[in-house]
Amino acid sequence: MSEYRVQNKMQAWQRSYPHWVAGVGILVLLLLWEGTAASGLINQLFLPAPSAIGTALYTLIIDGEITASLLASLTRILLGFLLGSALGLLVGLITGTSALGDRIGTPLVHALYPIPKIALLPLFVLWLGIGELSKVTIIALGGFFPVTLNTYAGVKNVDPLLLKVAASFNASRLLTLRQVILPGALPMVFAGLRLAAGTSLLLLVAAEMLAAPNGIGALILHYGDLMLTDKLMAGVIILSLLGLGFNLLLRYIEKRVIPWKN
Amino acid sequence: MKLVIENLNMDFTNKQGQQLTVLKDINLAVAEEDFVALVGPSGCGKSTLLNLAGGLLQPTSGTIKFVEAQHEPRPAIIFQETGLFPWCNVWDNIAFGLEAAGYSPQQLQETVAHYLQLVGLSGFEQAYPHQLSGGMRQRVGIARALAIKPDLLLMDEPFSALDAQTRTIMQEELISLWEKTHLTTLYVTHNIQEAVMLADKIVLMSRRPGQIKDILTISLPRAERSLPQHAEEIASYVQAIWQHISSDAHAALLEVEENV
Repeated sequence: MSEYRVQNKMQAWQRSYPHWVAGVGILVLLLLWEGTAASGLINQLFLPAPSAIGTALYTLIIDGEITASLLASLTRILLGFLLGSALGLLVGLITGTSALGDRIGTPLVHALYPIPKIALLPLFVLWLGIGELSKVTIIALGGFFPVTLNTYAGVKNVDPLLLKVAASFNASRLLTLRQVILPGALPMVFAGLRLAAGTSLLLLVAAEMLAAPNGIGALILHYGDLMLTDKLMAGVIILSLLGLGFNLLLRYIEKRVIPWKN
Repeated sequence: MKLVIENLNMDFTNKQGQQLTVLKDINLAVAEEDFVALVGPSGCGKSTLLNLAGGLLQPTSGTIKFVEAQHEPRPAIIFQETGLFPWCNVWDNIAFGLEAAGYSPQQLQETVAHYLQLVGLSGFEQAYPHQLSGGMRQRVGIARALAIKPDLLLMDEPFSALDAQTRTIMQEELISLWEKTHLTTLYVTHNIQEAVMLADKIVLMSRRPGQIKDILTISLPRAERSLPQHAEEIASYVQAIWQHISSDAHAALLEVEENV
């Protein structure tokens, strides 16, 4: 007779590490990068060291070049994003709640959705001029589709039982929309907004690289032409921070607006 | 006011395109202050009948009407899964029907407070449904339905998602509530014991197609049904009903789920 201890077979799935491990990981990677740059194995023109990028970022901030570009980019992306999201929410609600709107609107949305929006920039420049309007429009268009489609899906996903409840109390369509459909669709709407944020950033940079005198996209293109890779990379870092900040902001708003989800 | 259902038929077309008769030739009257239970195995169409009575479905043929009505009837429905709005706290959930009925803010305030107290949930106004137990959630559902002062209460297996102990407590609470209000009630359940404890009239339904097989009257006073001296009589009612529907229930058990 021998004894057998019961082993936890789920150990691999139940393990967890503290948050600081992530920071250590990034730090190690940066040090390795710095090390290879210092060793001279890689030409600094093609991949500058993190310290060089940091210095370039610092000088760009000090002489105000980043601030000006960031301001121009932020104005475009915020205007475009807000405009596209608001329209997307509206169209999503209409196609989601009205049978007629669904029949007419949904095929249209699905037909236009696959068009790579950047392909329309020359057309928009022709229609709206080379100025801000064509850029804001293309960003708005990029954000419009994910918000529309997600809002639509969110409305369709509202528990039919809750619609029955509203109907059983003779609730008006407006009350049902405000108290049942909108809150029910909200989690999906936010998923759409996060997608739209990503698309907006993409289109912002593309539009600025194609046709803009200023903005982060133009700045990156400019320093690329000059082969100043460290400044180019500094611009890329700004874009990454912009995307990160956008996402954090949306997540913060989502938590405030959807308090019942946890 | 009296609910009258005449020559009601209900057909569904399932996903395979087959025509299914869910309810056939239903004739039923629910008089004022009646407590009627619809009992039958799954698939007998009892929930469909309740939804039809609540105006949530269009019958294939036949009529459903309120007769001898002094004003426009106000039915209220209590659902098995409660149907509370997850994004509304207890207070706002109870207020929903009143808001839909156009109550003034002050009337609304008083009415919600009254029904909150009636179901024993004072102090939980700010809680969200996911923070409540199943029994408490259904109490909110009951308060929300009663708050609009309905003249017909439609209950669709309201306690069948609850555990056995909570269910017994909720049944007792419903009986004492009913004794206070004498609200005309149509109650759907597959639980025979529950039907015998609660209802004055039990409508037995058969399945495929759903038809009324028999209507039983329980004459024992509702408040006395849980007393030990009536245990035998209650048991014999339960036994008789089970004999009526057991063959159908067995058939239901063996049938592959068909989504109608």
